[in-house]
Amino acid sequence: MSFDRRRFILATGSVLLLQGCGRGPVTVSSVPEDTAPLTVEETDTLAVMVRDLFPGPGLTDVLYGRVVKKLIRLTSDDMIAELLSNGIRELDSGADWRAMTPTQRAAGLRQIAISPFFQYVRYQAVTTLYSDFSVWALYGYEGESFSKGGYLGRGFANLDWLPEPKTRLPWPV
Amino acid sequence: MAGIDLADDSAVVVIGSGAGGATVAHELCSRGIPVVLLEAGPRIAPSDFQNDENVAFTQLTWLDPRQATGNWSAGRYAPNLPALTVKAVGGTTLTWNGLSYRLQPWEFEARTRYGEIEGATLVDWPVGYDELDPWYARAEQKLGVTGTHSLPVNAINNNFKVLYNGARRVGYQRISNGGLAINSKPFDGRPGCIQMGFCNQGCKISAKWSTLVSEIPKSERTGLLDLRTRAMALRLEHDAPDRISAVIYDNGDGTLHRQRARIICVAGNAIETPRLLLNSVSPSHPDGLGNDSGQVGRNYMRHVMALGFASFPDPVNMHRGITTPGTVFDEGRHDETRGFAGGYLIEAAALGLPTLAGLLDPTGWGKDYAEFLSRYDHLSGTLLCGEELPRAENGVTLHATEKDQHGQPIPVVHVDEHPMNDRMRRHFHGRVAALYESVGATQYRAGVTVAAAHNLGTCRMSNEADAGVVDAFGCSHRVRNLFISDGSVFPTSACENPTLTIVALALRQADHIAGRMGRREL
Repeated sequence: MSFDRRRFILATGSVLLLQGCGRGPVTVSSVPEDTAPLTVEETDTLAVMVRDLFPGPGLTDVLYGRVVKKLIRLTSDDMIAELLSNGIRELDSGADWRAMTPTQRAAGLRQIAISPFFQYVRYQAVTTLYSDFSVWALYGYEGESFSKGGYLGRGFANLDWLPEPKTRLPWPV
Repeated sequence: MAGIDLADDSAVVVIGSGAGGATVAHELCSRGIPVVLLEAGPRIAPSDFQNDENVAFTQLTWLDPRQATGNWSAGRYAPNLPALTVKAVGGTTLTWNGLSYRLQPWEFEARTRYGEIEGATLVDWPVGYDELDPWYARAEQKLGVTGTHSLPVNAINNNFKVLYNGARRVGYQRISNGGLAINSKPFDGRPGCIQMGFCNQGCKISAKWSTLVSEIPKSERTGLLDLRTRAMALRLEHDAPDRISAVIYDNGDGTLHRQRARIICVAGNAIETPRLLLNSVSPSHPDGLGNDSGQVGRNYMRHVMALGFASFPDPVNMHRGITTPGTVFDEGRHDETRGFAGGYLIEAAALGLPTLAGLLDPTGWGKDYAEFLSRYDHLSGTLLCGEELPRAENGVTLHATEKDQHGQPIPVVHVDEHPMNDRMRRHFHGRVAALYESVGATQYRAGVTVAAAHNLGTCRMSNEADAGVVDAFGCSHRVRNLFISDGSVFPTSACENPTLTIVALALRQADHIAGRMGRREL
């Protein structure tokens, strides 16, 4: 399936472009409109890498696109720009990275797992993805509770598949 | 509020407003003694604390440059963040969990009990349990420790219910959710806990004890506390080799001040306290103030830590309520057959999703990891807190070239773990995996704590001047009006969370100081 990136962005005004969120062969992933200093192809490779790093159930390309967007923002530091473009070039240096099977890509990532490029992308991915409110909602982390009066009376002790302790526990033990 | 003149040499100066420093300050103010309290960080109102792990980390953490070296987790994964300490009024009492456990009597005699252990510098404490007992009782009263002084324990939350049931099924007997400095009902002008979670991000309602909401305001009400925030102590001065006379501090905008002092109590935690002494070099103290023994900065201990998280078929929602709601104490004993010295505690512990994802495996990625994290509301978790052996070379030194924003050499925190650490972790993971399996866990993951949470031992106390930095009251062996008032003085770490013991020692030290001041000995 081909997709006109620019027209989609113009039509929606969105900074994110998404196409599919499947686990199948990747063609184009979700990347921001302005990818400079990286090329569109490079950011696509990056998006695929981020998805391979954290292929969590329910995580969509919109979320992976947010990681890529953050990485692009971080390229305002020249050293990061160089780290990323060199790392992506390395990924793409053999066969077409995006055309490989997920298993092949995972094996490739394992080989570069000690590289600064990999570690930087992994760190940005894990901190961005799992700090995203929509991921919290997806996985049942409820976050801020002060404004709702805490969890007193809101399920802090509602686990019902195990028995309650019969007596009050002693202190000191 | 007292405004104490910089030239006033009758003042007691306390450096650091955490568990040790603010406790000493409050005790002295309560006895009519004026105190200058220097705190490197700002004063943050509890209402400004954030129910957000990322935001709170930035708001509270001591992020001045530090370096971690050695084979420990921080050396590998966080070379610029050896320890999670707090830079704000209240110090690390803002982010502690409230677990207020006394050390066990035998833990004060680690060397006698464990014998000689290769690669460790074990000693007995110069103060024993019986001596500390009444100070523990007072500390429990001040902190409002549940299960003591007629304070009820808190309600049991989901995460602890899982740990409790699993612990019973594998035969553990000593399990409790008591011993928390988190109000189960209104106490001491602070409200009861509303099970918010986010105990480690600063308690917004002040149900959890911290010096920010207890000792600091109480000291201020005496009219005798001169609290100076954003005041970073840089070095200590003396007018005789055995008499400290002043502290030089940066008031936050680069201006240096010299506060004269009659007595100085240093309570900057086990990293900043030895750093300050090592940065205070003079002809009569060429290796750092009060460092004739060469022990300043040595024998740094954390606790042996690890995370154990399990996934269950049914929801847990561990994040609802108190972050560390209760503990299994059965493994808190010395048993040579386990292959390591000292005991450990199995503490129920919840982490928010951002911290869990970052910590559980600091290099984690891939399908299995992502799928485990996706089970978030079905996870239950524990923290290992075990005794870490002191080692002479583990410690705090000054960086040869790197300086902080005040132009002071940054601290290098070095830890090469004793082989017993990993033996203890393996034992813990075996026990906790079995415990969780007994209540239906489908998957168990061993996790890592990267930066140190507890910082102990870098100015150890001893009866002999050549074996430690301070005496049994925390008074320098070499400088008679210099005291150390924090966890630096611990000769060994024991397996309990250290705050209650830090407070008990500080109460006893303040009584000792006031007595000696009254007798004109200081």
